[in-house]
Amino acid sequence: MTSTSTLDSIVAIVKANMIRLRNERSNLFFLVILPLMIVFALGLAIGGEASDSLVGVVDPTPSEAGQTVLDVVDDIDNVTVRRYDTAQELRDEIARRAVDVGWVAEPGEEGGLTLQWYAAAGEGFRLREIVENTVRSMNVDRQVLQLVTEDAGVDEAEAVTALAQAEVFLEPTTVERTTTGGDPENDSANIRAVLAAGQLTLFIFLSSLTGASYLLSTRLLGVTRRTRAAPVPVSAIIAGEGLSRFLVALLQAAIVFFGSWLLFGVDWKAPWAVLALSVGMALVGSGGAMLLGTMARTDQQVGAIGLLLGLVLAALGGSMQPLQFFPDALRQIAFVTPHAWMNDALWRILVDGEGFAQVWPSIVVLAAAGIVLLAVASVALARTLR
Amino acid sequence: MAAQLWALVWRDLWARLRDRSALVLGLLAPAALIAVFSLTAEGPTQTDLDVGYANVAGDAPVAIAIRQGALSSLEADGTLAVTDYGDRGDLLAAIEDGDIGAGIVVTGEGPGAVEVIQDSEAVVSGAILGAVADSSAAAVDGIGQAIGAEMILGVESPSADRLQQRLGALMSDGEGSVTVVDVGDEVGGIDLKTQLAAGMATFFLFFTVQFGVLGLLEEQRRGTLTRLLASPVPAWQILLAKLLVSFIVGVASMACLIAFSAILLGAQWGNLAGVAVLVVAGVLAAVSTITLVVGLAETPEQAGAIQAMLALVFGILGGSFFSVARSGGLASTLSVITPHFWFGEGLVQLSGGQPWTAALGPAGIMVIFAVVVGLPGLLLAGRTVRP
Repeated sequence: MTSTSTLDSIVAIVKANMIRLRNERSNLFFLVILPLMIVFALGLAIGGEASDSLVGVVDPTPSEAGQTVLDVVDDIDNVTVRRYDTAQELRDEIARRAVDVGWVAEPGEEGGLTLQWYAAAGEGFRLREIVENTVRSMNVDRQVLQLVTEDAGVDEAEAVTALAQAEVFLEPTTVERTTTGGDPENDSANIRAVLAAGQLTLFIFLSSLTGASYLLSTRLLGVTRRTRAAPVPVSAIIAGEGLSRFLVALLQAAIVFFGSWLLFGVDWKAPWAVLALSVGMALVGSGGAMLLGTMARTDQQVGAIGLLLGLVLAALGGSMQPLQFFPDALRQIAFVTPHAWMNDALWRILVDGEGFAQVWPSIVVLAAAGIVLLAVASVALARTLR
Repeated sequence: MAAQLWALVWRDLWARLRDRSALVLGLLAPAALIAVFSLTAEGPTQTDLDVGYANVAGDAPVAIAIRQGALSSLEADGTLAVTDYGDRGDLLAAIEDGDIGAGIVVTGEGPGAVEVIQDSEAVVSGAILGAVADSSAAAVDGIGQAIGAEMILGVESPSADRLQQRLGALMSDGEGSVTVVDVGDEVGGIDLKTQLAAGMATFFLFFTVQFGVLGLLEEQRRGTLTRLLASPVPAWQILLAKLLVSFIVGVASMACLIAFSAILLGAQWGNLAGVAVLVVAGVLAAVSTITLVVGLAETPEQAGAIQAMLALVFGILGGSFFSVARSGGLASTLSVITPHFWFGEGLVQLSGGQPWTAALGPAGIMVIFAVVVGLPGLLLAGRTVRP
């Protein structure tokens, strides 16, 4: 058999696989709609307001004091204030964790104000410290008045007059605020990109694994063995099947990469480095898919194991929540997954502004892992063919 | 009659147990994800917020109020870790190096002047220090004013130290016109771990219930259904047996996952009877969905793909992976059509030690979903088992 006809066989196998992929209409959903829908939904749910600390406020009778506290809180970056009509509404939103903290403002005697403080279970946002210190400065006037009336033995009206006279001579302490560092406006765009990046990693691997059912059914129906009898060399069959899996993985990468860029304006910062990482991950995915398609016995097994590995490794590898938000020990463990190598490199590209020159070791690790997996899968597939 | 039915159910259940994919989808995958999520949910090790302090104004009263007052009490309760710097330059350099997020510099003595410097990303540290600077400045100015007023009113030797002490006491008692009061535990509410576990359990439930009703289409293709229909077993029993298998597998999967997350990961599900009501209603909703899908589909692959799509869309909308409710807007409005949302809502209602009856409302909505989706499903799927 000449090398040209071997090449023809490989092309034929790849072509047959691609036609099958196209003919199955549900692939439009799983390869295109689903990943882009998730990127979109994540952008809404986490990328926008929802990544802020959400503060719920119930203030049925607005007062100056209540407004002062609210202004201070509202001025903090990354805090979004939502208003509710009743304490019950606020309580429900906190109970279902749709809001992190909040208060119900209740007017007291003599223009006083009580803030009833609510916080979601295990909430770690330190808004309480900010509000308490704000309230302290608001209370100073009242407390000073109390001191003066007690010390001088005068009524409040006299004390107020004396305090007003004293204020004229007082030079108040000034508090100046300075902000250094970059423009925080870019943060939400960065977070959107990081979330899309997680899905890029997740779907290259997941779609590869679920695509293993093509190889499985080809094997189960005896197509691979009959192809072997054609005669097509084992190496051509393996190359054809491997290449098919690799192309599906690349296709998935391209859909997420271009889809989130063109539809949702995700800025990939160093696109060539991202694409190189995607190729590395596609190698890992196609190796995994070939191995799964060779070892599994039923379609249900491929579906179940594909979903199991595709989701669990993604969760552990920081595709669903960035590695930077993991507990320290777990972040170390995460690097047993290929996902962590890719997600970590993507974070460095998107957030720290690194490029190809810095992330190439991750690309090498992914490519090496992919080649090893492909080699093991090829040997396993060859065994079933002989 | 019942014996035939249970024989059918038992045969199917046994087959599912032997083909390990039901175990993978019903137990292993969700349990693994629940475990990973509950580990990642803890977040990076919570440390104190790193902030800095520098005083270039000597014994300014405001410097004492800040460093020995507010800052040291926030340091003591573990909110802040304060590092002292010699001058503004050192503190600024530390912020730029990322050692600290924000800092306070006392720059003037008479009149007092304070500068709060923060990195643009250290919003919480910056806001805390800003509030600390404001409250300390207000206190110092208040004392100055009090001394002036007392001198005007003829109080003998008003002393700054004494006034400062008394004001400090008043401030720490929280005495004043504005008070912050903790509502405490009565809010109840679901903790993050339980929320994630419930999300994963309901997400996979919609995959798990396939092992049952979907078998109708598989048996139809293999030709075993025709043979079964030729036997004296009534057709409705064949359909009922498949529904029962889906139901049993679904309940078993949910029960195991609830036990797993409660015992090993410390998830708090609330009143057990209430949780059981939610599980039954949730499984009914899932079984009715797959019944409708099987009724509409022609091949098992098609049914599997449609059910997977529904499971994913429902799961995402219903908040299995991330809270849609936080985003507000259309997505959170749409999420109420999913049984996933109502299962979570049921747990919210049960939280804080509520009795099992608190789950009845959300469970009722899931049952309504099951009826609305399940009745046409039964009619359509019933055609498959017509001889």
